Amino acid sequence: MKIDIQWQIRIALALALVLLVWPVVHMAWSLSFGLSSWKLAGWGMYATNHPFYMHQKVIFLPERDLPVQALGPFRGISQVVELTDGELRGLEADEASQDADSAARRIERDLRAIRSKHGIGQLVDAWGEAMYPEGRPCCALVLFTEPRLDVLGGRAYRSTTAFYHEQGKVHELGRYRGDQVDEAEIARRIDRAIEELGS
Amino acid sequence: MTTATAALGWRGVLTHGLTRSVPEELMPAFRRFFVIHIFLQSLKLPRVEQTTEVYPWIGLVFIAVVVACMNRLYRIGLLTLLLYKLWRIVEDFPMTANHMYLETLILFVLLVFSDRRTDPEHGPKAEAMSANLVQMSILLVYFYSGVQKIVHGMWLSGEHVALNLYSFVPFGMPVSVQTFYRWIGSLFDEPAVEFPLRGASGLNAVEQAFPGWAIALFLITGWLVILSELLVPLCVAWPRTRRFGVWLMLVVQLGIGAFAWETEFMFAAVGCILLFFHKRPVRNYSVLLVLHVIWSLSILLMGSKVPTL
Repeated sequence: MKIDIQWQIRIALALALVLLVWPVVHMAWSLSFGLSSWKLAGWGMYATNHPFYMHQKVIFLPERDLPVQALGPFRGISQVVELTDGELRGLEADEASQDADSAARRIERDLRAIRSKHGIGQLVDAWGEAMYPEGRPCCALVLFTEPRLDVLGGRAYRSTTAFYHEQGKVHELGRYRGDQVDEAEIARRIDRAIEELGS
Repeated sequence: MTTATAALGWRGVLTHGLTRSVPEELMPAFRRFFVIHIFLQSLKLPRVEQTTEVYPWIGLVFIAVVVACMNRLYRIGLLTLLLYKLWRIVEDFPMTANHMYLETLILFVLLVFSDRRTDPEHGPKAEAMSANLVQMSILLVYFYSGVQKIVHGMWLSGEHVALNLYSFVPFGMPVSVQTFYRWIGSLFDEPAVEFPLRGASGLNAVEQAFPGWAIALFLITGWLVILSELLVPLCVAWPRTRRFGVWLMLVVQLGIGAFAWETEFMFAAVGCILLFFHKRPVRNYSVLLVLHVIWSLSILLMGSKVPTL
């Protein structure tokens, strides 16, 4: 196999251009649309928290109303919980739902690299199938939260992005920082954002 | 823009830069080192995948490496290795580690561009293009790594370094930062600190006051890392500082490898960096290969005691 030298020059130029331009596109994507700086060859390793420090929490809600205490602590790297009578309860898939459980974990893993509304919708559907074989609650709140630190201010906190899933649609509610407002206020703001979706 | 540059245009400048000649022995030595690096990397597959089903793949990689080291059939070996790497990328996608993309790109470059033994007429020019493309790749990795650290801001504020003190991960950068912090703290007669520190478990912030020396340490480390990553490609690009830049790049890469335990990437990167050293390439790559083999075998012999990087 021998490639013509003129073609080799063209390939070299194309590769050089891709090497120069792709990281710039990657940076814009990772700054604005939920791509981890660590992934997809943008050379942003260590620039942000590793994807596995990103905690994912799916809260299934029986109704739109979100009580203030609904967010709760974050344990491990992911949680699936339901809100029943104002109390959070952890959910686990039974033996019969292992396939759906594996599918959900795969989607969860992918969302650590590339977060999209489409992927979040798939995640809620997959967890819904794994946890509620006979029909899941109407709505779900999905939280992506990562540890942050204000070195000069001396405060460790979490930065959280909230999404709301209802009737097959995913809405981004906003980003909330624990160094600016407390947990109760974040829950109130999320609740208000959900209410505004209806109006 | 100089008159000469203006006359060449962007395409001419790039072509001129990519066709700077390289010594005859450089690319064959690099190619042999690089394919053996891929084989050594594949030896970790059983631990990464947690299954013995990957042994046939390791066998295939071994055969491909032997073929890739031959003078005439090397392209068949390279093509097999490229397909193997693409399979690894697809398997892990989108969580694929970045060095996998870089290694795949290098295999593609080695495959596509001619060799002076198989194409005496255009081989030298093609070899020069492949060497310069690999050099360019590694320089851009450092450059954009520095730029990404600036735009995301976590290194400028010292936050990224400090967050390692909260990490429960028992290997890599968290262990290095925690050990270094403890050692510096002992110099300031600070009481020993229990790691990991407790961060915010809920959405409420937690007070965490660091002593002045620690804040200075986080900030200075963050800025130095960014500065060195940006300085390396700029120094190499400038002819007067090229020699300094290449040595700085080697030091920075060894530092990253040791501090973040990123040894798999480190050996690939040092292989790329040695392309800047045009004298005695066979000796250079032989020494690097011996170190790589010793390191990989020690990791394998230590088994599960050493985490996969």
